[in-house]
Amino acid sequence: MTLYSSVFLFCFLPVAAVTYYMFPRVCRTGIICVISLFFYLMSAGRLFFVLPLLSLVCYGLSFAGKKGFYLCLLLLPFLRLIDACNFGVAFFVVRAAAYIYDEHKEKNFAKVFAFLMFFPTVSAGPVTRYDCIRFDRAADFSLISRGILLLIWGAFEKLFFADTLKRAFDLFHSGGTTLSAFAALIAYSLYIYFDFSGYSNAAIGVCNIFGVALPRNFDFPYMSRSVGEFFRRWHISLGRWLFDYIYLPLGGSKHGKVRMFLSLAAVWTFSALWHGFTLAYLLWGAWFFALSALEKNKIKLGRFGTLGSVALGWVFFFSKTPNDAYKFLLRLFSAGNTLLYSRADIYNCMRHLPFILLAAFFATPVVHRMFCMLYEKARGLTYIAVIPAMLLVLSCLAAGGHSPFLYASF
Amino acid sequence: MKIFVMLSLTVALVMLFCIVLCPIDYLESEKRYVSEFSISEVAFCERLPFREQLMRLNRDVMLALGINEFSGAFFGKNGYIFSNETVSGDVLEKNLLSAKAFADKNGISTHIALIGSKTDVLVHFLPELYGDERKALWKCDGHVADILPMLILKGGEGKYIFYRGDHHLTSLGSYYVYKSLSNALGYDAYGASDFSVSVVKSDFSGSDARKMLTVTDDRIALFRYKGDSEYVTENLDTGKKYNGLYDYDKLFSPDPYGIFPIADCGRAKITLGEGREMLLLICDSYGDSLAPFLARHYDLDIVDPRYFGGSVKGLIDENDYAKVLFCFGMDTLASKEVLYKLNF
Repeated sequence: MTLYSSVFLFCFLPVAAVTYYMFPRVCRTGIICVISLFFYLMSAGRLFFVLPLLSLVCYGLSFAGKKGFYLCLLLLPFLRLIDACNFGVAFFVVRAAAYIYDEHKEKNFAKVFAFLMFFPTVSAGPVTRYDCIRFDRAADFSLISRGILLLIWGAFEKLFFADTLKRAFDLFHSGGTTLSAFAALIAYSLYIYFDFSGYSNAAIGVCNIFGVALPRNFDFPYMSRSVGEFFRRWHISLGRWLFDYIYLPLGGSKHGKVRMFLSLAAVWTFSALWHGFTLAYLLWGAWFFALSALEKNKIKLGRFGTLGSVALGWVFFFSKTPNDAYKFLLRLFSAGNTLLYSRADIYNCMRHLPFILLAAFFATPVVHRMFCMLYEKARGLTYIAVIPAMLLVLSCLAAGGHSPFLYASF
Repeated sequence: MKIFVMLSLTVALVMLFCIVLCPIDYLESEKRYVSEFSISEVAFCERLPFREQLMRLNRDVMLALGINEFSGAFFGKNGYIFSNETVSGDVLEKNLLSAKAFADKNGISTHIALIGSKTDVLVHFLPELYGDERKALWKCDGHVADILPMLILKGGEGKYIFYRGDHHLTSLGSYYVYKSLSNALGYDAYGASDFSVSVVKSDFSGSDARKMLTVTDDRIALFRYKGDSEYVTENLDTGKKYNGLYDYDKLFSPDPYGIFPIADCGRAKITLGEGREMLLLICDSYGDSLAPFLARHYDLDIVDPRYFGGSVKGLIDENDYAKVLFCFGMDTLASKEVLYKLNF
């Protein structure tokens, strides 16, 4: 069950929300624990016991000071080794590690459990902090209505844009020419953005519905002028986590250049391994470390340089092995016997071009700004304006099947 | 805001009730029954209110954005709807090798007819710039009858050889295949004037039209000939026997294409009982409309290996077949290994 599935939207969420608000505020932490456990049971399959067990372990570790933080991080490679890394374990570990590092030492296990297992964020973030999560607030209809709008928007990004772009990517990726490689890269860059941004928005929307206000997790990253700026706008919560718990504790930029580069290397190594213990991810991390290091040495990439660099970085993301990445790059740069284009490529590019342009437009802040203006000036119209997005979400659900959310595999 | 929240909750709960209490148990557009109700995404999506209208909305938006593909089908010219199938030269090669191994092992005169799909044949009606990667699949050697060029020619002449909204050959298309195989199989093919064509359904919408959530006005026509009602056709899966070559009961069923023998069954027989030679026709649904033509020359034992649970080798041992004909669509043989079980 995902946040944009029919079962969740029409069965789980309304029942859970009504149940939650029916109970007095003092009971809501407990209610969230039950709801979250239920969500996890329905979603995690045979490894449903992993996160609840980890919650207990991390709760214990929270009383071990900073040692507990490092032990918590070590859980991730351990779980990957024993193949128990499912459904949001990577996100869970960083959330728990932050809780331990911040030394909250909450005595009420239910509160900790509710924070760690809070169902909208359990599978794929955002990476929340303990202080942001409170379940004892009064019903705030303004927040709830914003949450509903955000949920619809997130589902729209995921089901309409991301799923269609994924199909386009699969089509172009299976081609053998430079043009199809180029098209695949563009399709993937947009796909991963809408997939992740859509899920984040849906998750934040659901959090809002339950009275938890969270900041945005994506801020139109493809508008960035540097790689540093890109990662301050992409998966903002994870970026902040890396900054607060890896970069700064290792010294950051306060102890000279060598320490700064070492801190940066640690951030990118951790980020790569957090995504997966493969050489492809390490190469991804290395690529962005190199670019970040260049930028620290005042070399500017500019907007197009940033776009191109980020897109090239995604090659390591979708290639299963470094060899696959290498072959793709050879194809992209027309090396060897690679054909520049084929008839099928032109046909496929032409029929996908309007959609890709539309997706690229939606990846800019224009629509968001228009929406925000409408929300401020004529809220009622906003609720009407979201109807086409909602209809498209329903049409995507009706057309059946959607591809799994990419980051749910971390 | 409160009204919006309450309205959203009401809509969600109404949707839930509609899904749970959904009275629909048969999906007309997909010609199938809904799955058993459960708290699962499939069951919920199948029961969404206004599901078909929503699917059409999705289709229309995709078409408006130029993607021209929905559920694996796409529009070509002249009202033709084509399907994209995932095909593999390796899978095709394996199937052909299985067929050849079967031929070598059994020592019966064996022939292979590979029928191109609409995408292979009606090249003139494909969208502009549609790729020609499938050409690489067509490597006819001595074992495989080369009928593709003839079909492309007839298609290019505007002959109605494929249904606009279905992936099968029409009876006219099957007639051309029947004529093309005459040399290989050693019979004198009857000319068109020896048949009388009767249209039995004029609003047939097949698989491709269903994928596109649209209807086409295809015609199912039968090539009748004198004495064809004396044949006995038996569906060995269901035990149903009828006189003649066509099961007219199926004409008004959800799948009118079932009028042809062997449609969706593992084994069927067409006999005249006059001591004629017996032909083992191993085929997929492309053999359905070809069988009535071949029945003019042979008693037929028709086997579809995708549904046949028995042993084809066993059939060979028990029956005295004069010839074996493999007749498959390219999409079947190039997408799934279906012939490997022949040799067991």
